[in-house]
Amino acid sequence: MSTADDKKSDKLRLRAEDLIQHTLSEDSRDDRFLSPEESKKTLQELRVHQIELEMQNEALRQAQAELEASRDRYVDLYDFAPVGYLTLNANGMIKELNLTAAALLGMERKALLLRRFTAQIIAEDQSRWLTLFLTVMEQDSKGSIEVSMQRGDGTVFPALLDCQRTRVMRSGIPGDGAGDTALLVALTDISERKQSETLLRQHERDIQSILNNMPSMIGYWDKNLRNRFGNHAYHTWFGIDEREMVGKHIREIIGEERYRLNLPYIEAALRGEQQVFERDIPAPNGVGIRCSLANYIPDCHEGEVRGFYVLVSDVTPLKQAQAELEKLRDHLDQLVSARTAELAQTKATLQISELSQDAIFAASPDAMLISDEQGMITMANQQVERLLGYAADELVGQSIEILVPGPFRRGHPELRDKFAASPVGRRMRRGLAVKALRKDGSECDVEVSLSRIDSGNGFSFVSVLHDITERRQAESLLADYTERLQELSSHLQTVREEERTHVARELHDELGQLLTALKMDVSLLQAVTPSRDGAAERLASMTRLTDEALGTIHRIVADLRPLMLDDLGLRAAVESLAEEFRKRYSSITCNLVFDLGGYKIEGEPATAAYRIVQECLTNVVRHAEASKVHIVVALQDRRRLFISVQDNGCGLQEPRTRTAGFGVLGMRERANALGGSLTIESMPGEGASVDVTIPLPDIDLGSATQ
Amino acid sequence: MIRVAIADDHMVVRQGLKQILSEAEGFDVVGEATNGAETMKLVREQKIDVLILDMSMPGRSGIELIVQIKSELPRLPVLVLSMHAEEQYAVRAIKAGAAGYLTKDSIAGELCSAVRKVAKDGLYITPAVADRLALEVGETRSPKPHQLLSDREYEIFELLVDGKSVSDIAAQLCINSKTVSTYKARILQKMQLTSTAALVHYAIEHGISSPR
Repeated sequence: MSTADDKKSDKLRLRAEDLIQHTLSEDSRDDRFLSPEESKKTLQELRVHQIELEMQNEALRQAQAELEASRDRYVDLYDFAPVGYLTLNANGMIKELNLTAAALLGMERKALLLRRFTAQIIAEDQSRWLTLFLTVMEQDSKGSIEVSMQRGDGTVFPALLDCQRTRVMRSGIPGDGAGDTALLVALTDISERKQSETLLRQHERDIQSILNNMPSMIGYWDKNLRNRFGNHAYHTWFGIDEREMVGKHIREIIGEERYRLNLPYIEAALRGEQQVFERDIPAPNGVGIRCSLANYIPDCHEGEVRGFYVLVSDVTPLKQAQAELEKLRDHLDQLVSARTAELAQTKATLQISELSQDAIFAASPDAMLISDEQGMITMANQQVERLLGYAADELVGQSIEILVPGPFRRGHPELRDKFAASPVGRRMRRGLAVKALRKDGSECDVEVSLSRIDSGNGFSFVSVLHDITERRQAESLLADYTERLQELSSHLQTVREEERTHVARELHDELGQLLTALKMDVSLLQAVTPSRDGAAERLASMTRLTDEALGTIHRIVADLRPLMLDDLGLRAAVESLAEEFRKRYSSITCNLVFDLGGYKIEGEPATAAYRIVQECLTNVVRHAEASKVHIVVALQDRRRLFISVQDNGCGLQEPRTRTAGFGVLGMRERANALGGSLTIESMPGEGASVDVTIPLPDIDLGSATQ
Repeated sequence: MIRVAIADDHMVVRQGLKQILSEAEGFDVVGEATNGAETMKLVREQKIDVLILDMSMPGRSGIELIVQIKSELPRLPVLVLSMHAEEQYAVRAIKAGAAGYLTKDSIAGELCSAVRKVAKDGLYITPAVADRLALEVGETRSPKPHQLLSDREYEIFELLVDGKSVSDIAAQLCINSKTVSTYKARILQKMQLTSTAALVHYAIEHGISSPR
């Protein structure tokens, strides 16, 4: 290069000398008359100039070298720039391109030179490209377009083409005077950008979709209160089309009134303060009111508020739920206070009840004891002292068994356990009359009522001891009286029976014998007296009268006392009764089974048996309308006399007659007097039966005769 | 001549008897007694063909006295006189050993023939008494427990033994089942048994089988 530079310098020298000579000749014409000083000075100046010139020359040379270096660098830059550069001529032919462009298009640089650039663009984009090409070349100086370009191997890639019109000198150095018009094209592969753009758009769509599907209204207002964005809910609420909304002032959207109301929040949001507030907003379509929770979120960027996001949620269901909750809570509150009141009342009642329980415990006329599960007395009232001789305090802590008389004491804990385990059915055992052991060792009659109390942590047992000494005394007195009354009754019965027997005997044996004798005399007279003056008739009449008298005596005697009972024994007497019955009431079959197994029964049991059978037969005749009567007199177990009279009549219609009939009462009395019992069974339509059992304690087996 | 002794505590009766006997032919009243002890003394000491004995006298009398007399003098015919018309007396007296029984109101017409009959080792009894005697021979043994039952009870007893339930029996007899239960209880009581099984056992033991 230095040689080329030298040559240039030489040329420059020649030109400089030409210029000097030309200048000097012109100067000499003006300055012919130079003084020596002036010449000397001029020479001096010339030398300076010369040096200057040399210096300039040197600088120039240096600059040129630098220029060349920079040009080399430029070529490097050009070729290896990250962007593909192409220069197209007015016909769209590729005049120049750098290596990057060749690489992007996937071809050799040489193969691309002087080819139509349009051929590298896919068919669909070619017309767009040509339009731009023409526009830039003819009118604008700049333009850019995205097209899909085809590589050498046929693959396609998206590319951004930045175009600039320029003038190219023929030398090929741009910008150098009037050259041909050319187009500089910067080719960038935008595959990646496209991809990320697609992703971004997808992302945006997603976000949009999410936002649109949000039930909340979401919007964005810029600092001039112009809408920039609103989601579907936002549009729907205001009934505005999406496109109409963007750019509108907030006042237009929400209305003057609401705007005024919201202005404080808006202003605050624009100051960068987040706002949250609730509003009952009537729906713009006039249907219903909804409660909204509004959120104004300022959009701050580097300290500057650019706008704010609006987030409005419908909290109506929430509010309703809240209201429900509120109501529920009120209700609960009411319930609680009601319960509290109840509880208080219950407590009060309980207190009263406890007080009254204490009072009852203390004031009870009966002795009361409370014992635990182990039988230890935990409480006793004052009455125990009077009844048992122990002071109440003395008993507390003692086992309840100390009150149980000796013979029963051992078994008592077991009884207690039984009661504790199964108080069912005997929770309250009233009338459990027992003996209680007093402090002084004596015993007293008490009636014990037991009850079990479940006190939560185990059972307690309340024993109420009712003093029944007096009652016992009264009872025994009553029993005594009853017994004496019975004795008296029995005695009276016996006395009466004896009296009757006596009278019967007198009548029968004395009067009867006398009448018999009279009759015999009359019959003797009849044999000897001649029949005249009606004497025979008189005698016959006497005999008849005597017979009547005897008959009367017989009847009276039979009523008074069955003499046969004493003379012949029970069997004969009862048989006689049956016989008499058969004779008198032939329509009734009378069946008698008599079996004393050979033993002789005398005295009161015999009398009782006889009288009972007699009474029963009388009843059968009077009431039963029976056709059969079955009499049994039998010895059972060798120690009981069993008497049964059964009929097949109408039965006893009224229960009253079972006990109240006078005859029945008499029979019962007789049976009872002998320690026996009488039962009457009536089966309506099947008759009635009277069964009597009389114990025979002193059967004399030896005296068995029949 | 039939030697007759009279035992009666009533003098008027004794005199009447003597009168009747004396007016008839062939009777010689050889002795009188007014109570049991005298009677025993009389029969032991006197040679007597027939003793006319009042049923009711002071002291030992009646059946007991007959039994005693017969135990000492088994061949002495005893004609019992009684105020009692009931056949029981007659039957008891004859069973005790008496040869005849007369009620006092029939003395006038029958005494002499009665004394003559018994004196000839015969019995003087009325047909009614004879019937009763025959009946009582069959009754000497004790009745079995089932014989204590009434007809209705026996009927139900048989049905129970036959295996019928209370309700079956009620249906069959057209009566209330409660009534049947009552009968059953009575049957068990009379027979001194405690269960239906015991009834069945009893029936088998005694050969009582249901006819059905």
